[in-house]
Amino acid sequence: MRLRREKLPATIPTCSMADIAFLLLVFFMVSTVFRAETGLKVIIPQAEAAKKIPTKNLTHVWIAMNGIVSIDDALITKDKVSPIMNRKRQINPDIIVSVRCDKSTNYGLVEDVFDQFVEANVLKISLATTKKRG
Amino acid sequence: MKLREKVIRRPDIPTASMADIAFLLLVFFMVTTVFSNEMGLQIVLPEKGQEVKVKSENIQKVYVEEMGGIRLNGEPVTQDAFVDEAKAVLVANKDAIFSIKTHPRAKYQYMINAFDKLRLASAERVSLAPSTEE
Repeated sequence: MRLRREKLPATIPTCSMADIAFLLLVFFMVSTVFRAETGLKVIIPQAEAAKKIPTKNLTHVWIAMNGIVSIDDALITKDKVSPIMNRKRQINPDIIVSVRCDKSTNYGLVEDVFDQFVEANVLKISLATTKKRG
Repeated sequence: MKLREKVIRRPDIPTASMADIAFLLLVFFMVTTVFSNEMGLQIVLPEKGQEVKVKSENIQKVYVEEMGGIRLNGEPVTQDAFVDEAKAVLVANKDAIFSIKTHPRAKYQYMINAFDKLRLASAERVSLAPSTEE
């Protein structure tokens, strides 16, 4: 008995391509975080021992070379930092402040801002740096 | 005359370009996605009014000069030798606490340098001393 065999042309199935693309698309759409704050233009210092900091409970404070501070995109003088941080701590007691300070800022100015943090009882600080490859 | 038989076409939505659209969006999101990768050095500031009694022999004074020079207990140390010096201090006394005091006009980067070196020497107990205090 002879069986009839139909010869099919060789093809790559592409119908699931769209599914794969959509899957990746959804992933990127969900994971994309558009920057909420613009902050200030600062060049942050470099450090070899820099570690990744958890983004949970993180709030950013920018300090420019001239001592201007930016919190939540509002420009303030450094003596106004304490009340704002105090309010933030009351909302979230586990707050961690990421200090993005220009590397050429005089330390005296930075210290004044740190004193404001202590005043507001916000004590967990992370000094933002870029990783220096040793 | 015999008319040709009418071919009834089934209506369908063309899906061939669906993958192209999906890929286009995918590429857009892949390019614009910024995965948060914040690096930094973490520190906990002392609470206001809190005085911790520390044995004076455990305190190692680090002074960051205006031009970036580092002094360890009054002795000038080069940037490269500072890590080894700090390690040696920790070997001799594992309870050593490094207190970084920075000149008010020193650049922020210089303080970060000293702090970074201490972290490289795996010194966990580091504090920032007020620059005004003698």
